[in-house]
Amino acid sequence: MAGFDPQFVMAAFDPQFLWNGLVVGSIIAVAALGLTLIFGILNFINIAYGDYMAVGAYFAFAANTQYDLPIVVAALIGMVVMAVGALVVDKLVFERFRSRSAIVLLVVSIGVAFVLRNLIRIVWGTGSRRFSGPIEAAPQFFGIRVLPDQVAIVVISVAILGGTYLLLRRTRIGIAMRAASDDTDLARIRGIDTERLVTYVWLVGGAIAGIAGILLGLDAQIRPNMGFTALIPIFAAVILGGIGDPIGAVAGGYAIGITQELSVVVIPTEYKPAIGLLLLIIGLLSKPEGIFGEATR
Amino acid sequence: MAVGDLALLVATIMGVYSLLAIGLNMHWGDTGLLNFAHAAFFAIGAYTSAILTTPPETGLLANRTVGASYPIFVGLLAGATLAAAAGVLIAVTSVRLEGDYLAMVTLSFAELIRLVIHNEGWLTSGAQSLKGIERPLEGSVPIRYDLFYFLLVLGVVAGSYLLFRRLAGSPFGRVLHAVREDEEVPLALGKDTTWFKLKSFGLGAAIAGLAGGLWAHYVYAITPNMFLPSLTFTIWAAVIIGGAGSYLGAIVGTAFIVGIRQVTRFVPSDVPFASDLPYIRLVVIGVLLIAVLYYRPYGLLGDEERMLAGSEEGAD
Amino acid sequence: MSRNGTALRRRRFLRLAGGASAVGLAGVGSARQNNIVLGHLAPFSGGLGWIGPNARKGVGLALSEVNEAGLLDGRQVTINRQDTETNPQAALSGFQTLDSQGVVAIIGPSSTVMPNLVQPAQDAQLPLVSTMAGTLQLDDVGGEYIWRTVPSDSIGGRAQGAYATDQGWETMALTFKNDKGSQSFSAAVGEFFQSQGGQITGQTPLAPNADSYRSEINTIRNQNPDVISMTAATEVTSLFVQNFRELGVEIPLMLSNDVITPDFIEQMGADTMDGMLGQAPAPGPAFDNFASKYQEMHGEQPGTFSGSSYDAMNLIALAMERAGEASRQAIAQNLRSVGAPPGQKVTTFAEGKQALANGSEIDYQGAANPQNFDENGNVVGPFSVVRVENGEWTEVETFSASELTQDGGGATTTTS
Repeated sequence: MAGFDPQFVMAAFDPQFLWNGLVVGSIIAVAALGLTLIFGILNFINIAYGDYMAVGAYFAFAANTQYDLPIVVAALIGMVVMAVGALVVDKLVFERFRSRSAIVLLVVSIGVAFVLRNLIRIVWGTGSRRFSGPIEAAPQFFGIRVLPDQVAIVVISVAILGGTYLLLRRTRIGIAMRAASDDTDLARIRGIDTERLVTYVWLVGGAIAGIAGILLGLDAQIRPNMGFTALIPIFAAVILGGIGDPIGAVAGGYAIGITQELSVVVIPTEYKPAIGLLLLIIGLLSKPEGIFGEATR
Repeated sequence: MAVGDLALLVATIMGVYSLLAIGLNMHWGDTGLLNFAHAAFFAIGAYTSAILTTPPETGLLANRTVGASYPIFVGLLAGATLAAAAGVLIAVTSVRLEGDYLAMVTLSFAELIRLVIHNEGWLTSGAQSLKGIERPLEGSVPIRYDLFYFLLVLGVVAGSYLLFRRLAGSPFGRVLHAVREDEEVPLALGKDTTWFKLKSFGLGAAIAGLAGGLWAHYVYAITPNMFLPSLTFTIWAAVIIGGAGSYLGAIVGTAFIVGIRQVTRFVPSDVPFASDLPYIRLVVIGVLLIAVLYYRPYGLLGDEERMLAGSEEGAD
Repeated sequence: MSRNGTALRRRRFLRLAGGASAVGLAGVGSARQNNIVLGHLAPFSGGLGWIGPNARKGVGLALSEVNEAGLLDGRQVTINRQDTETNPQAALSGFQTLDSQGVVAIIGPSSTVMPNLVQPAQDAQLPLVSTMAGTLQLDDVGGEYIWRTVPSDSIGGRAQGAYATDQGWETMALTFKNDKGSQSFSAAVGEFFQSQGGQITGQTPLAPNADSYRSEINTIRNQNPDVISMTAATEVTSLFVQNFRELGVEIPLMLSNDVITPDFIEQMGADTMDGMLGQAPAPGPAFDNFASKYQEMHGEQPGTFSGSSYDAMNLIALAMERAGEASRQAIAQNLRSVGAPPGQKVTTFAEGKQALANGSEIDYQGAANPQNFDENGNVVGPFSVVRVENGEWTEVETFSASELTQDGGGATTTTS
């Protein structure tokens, strides 16, 4: 049990924790970006999103270790598979429920999550996996241990965030997405083909989920329930950032990652998962839109 | 006789889970509240009753220092009460949230509660099982104990079924239904809908807590891993497959899901994929959940009217 | 610890009363008369899903030997396998399923679910022989219907503690996966190390589904211990070891027996694992022979709990052979006698059958352990401390059973 002595208090200013937080935050930020895009257009909480992440990671894992492809190629495969996969799941399942309430869709997504997670277990087993590559001591810079993988995670996440920003700002489809996210009905009235938008959103959201899962697997482990356990902090980021707001979600992601890693200075490590849970609860309860119900959507 | 033992065990599990489903049906079926904290109410009932009736442990791994030897019915009652209190507390903070946000908040609360149970060993034995939980009246019933316990659970299920069905048909229940369909209406009629939601939440949580107590006093030992979110999801699947809004449906759906679990145990272990059965089962439950929602939105026995109303609100 | 005695007696009476119908059921279909059904209840899915297959293969080898040699004048033994899903409720259902199928004994599961099965096994008077539960919670409950073919954590923990003491290490940090089995083992290590004058610098639980243990490792490093004792199954251990190496920590690390396998070194890489310590029950007297037969049958090295499962199957079969009948009572009453001395030492079912036919008592010498049950159905045995050298687990010190069981004894202490 972590005692409360000055050493620990000093650790609060330990740049190592900040760096760890930045890495974790990068992963959450990417994942939250994909989730908030989907949420913004489709207006339901997709519980299966975490499992999309896991599917992306497992396909990349298979390409990387079972077919000996370099990690970069494997990651691209994982991304593409999940982009298409998200679209397929929509055509098979979600599309049929488009006219139903957000609540029904949420329950449907639980069913999808059950199916995906357990298919992973059947195909790849229940144990944890890792991408190929040696485990080595991280080089130190100014007293901070920095792994090459972690640098890659931070760089890739910045690239993805930047790319998505450009997509949303500079392309017609992106601008349409933002419009639809703000108000689906209005977008429809203005003649935006919402079904085509939905297709793009699943492709983009699925690809982002896939890469987020791969980054998570790179930093930690690949496990069948990796996405589900990551879901709470990701949702917290989405909620804190304002639902459907990509920039807010990214900011929320970094904030949560860093808070979570710094938290071990003041709370016992076994309560680290509580940070995401508490932030999600506080985020939801403190939102005026949340309290006033319907107005948010 | 061993075949009877198995049948009684399965029936007892069905009974305990049915209680959970009855509670969830009050929340979702009657009131339209998305409660994803059901496993936590179950856990609170189980742990409260176990702690109140089981003295602290001794030995090297004994970390629990809190415990008492109250009669079991006190434990059961306290478990249900505390679960209700937890339900009301959670509801007070969050019941005004829109449906799916409520789901996320309740899920988070449930995970927080489980985290505390897992880590506060002085109270709950933590990851070590809280063991040595006594069974009520063991050794002093004139019939087979498993039969006695099943009858006890059956009695509670029957009582709860009648009570909750009656509640659903009462003026109280009609307000809940009105809240479910469109909260504006009862509001306009001057009903304090929040108060009704709190009561619904508390009642459903109480019955889940009672189920937890009954479960704890049956299985000798409880661990935090018995109360994962997947339990909540399973009960949800049961309620939806059975038909939201129907208490009989909740029981039938539970019997169905527990039944699948047991029936697949008789699959010979040398068939291909035999060791993947638990996962195949979950895939099947997932597919069933989706299929039922699509083809029979009101479930096997659900309240048709209720679900029709549910499908029209999609456009918002 | 005697549980509710009156309830037990009452049940026994009821069972006798219901005996007639039970016999009727067991006799359904005369083809089954010749078959003896044993249960195998193990985790094949869930958290410990990876050890079920090891146990299955060990049982499978013994099963083929038993059926070849012929049990009770050539009756065939079949196994009904049930999955505990590493979850008490599923384990109970599995147990009752086996009970309902009339199995005469169950080869049993892990610490996670054993406490929930103790009372049901006693109620059903159904021998339950765990091949994987080390938890201290079983130390004093067995001997009638509850048995195990693996030593208690209290024994293995002592080996770790004793080795640390021998190295002259004075301070130890304990860290463990936050679950039942790991906590139990870690507590045993810590208690013994302290009894030898060592000091525990802290106890750090590791959350099962975490994405990194970097902060936990930093916490442990800040305690500045001479050695770290880390107890967890493969998943948590692999992430912990990965983070441990990445952070460049140089403190000696002792791992638990779950990961003392060639597979684990291969998974992590020989360089990563170099110099890491662990302890495992020293192979039983019959291990080499068992391992080569196992390799031949399954095309791989025995895994964790393969040997103890092989032993459990053999012991149950020998107990029936000694009793001359296939019943729960016969097995319960003969397990200790076929496992423990005195008697002619045998290492396979065929040898044992032969010796029993000659009218000798037997003392089964197992693949995992000598399998000499004590009055509580526990076994003790020597433990080896191993270290990874050139990509292989290499024995560095072995503690005999007697060294590990004397009170406060342990190995010779070298602390000055």
